[in-house]
Amino acid sequence: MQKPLSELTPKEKADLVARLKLDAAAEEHFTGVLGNRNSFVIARTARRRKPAARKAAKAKT
Amino acid sequence: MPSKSSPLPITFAVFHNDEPADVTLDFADNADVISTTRWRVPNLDDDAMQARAADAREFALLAAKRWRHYRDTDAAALTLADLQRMIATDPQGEFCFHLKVTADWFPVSLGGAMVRRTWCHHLIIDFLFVHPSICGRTVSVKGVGIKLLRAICMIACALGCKRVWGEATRDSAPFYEQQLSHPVEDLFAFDHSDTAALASSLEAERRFA
Repeated sequence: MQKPLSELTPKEKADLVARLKLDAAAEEHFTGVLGNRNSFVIARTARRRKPAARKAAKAKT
Repeated sequence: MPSKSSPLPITFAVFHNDEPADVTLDFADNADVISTTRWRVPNLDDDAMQARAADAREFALLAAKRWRHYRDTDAAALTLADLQRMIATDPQGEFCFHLKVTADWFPVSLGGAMVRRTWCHHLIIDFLFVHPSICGRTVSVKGVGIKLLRAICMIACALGCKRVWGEATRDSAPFYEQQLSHPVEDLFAFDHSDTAALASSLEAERRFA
């Protein structure tokens, strides 16, 4: 099919809508995301710790 | 490795307000990936929809984070030809690519996916997500998620990968079960016959050469 949607014949549009309904049905269980945010393969960058501030040297008396 | 003409970009129809509307799926570049980090979650009355929309944003952020790692280590592919070149240069290398779905009737991308090509020449779906407004159903668009999955299978076929796999969660296992027609636990795998069938179903919906 190589023409804009606005130029589809009623039959072509009906066929397309029927296919899209099948796709929508195939997405019935799709929540919007796939994957696992907690997956161990999704390596997370270690949080950087700020180096401890050095204490000012006390002057010896 | 088979070297076919690039199957992407591909234009096909999805439902927008229950009417067919064209969208285009292609490899994403750096600007595309980073733009998903600016997605906002709509305020919704329905808690379940709100959680779904928030998940979509979080997955987009996690995908962008992984993208930066692969980009900065020169292991991110911007086109299928790029990916084929990288594999030819380092057959056991691990590479990453992102996909995007765009339309002239939607201001930002409608969804995306982060996929890895492993050293065994398999594809792993790390993250796949649609825009929070679609997840939360403030915008009525149907078919983006399934078409992203089929496009990943199409790329697997183009590359000659024998498997597309990933981790199934409690929420996503029913979706994979529906595609595979058999029970799925915490690991799903589309083998060659599955990927070929899903790829050809998307190819059949190509609207423009």
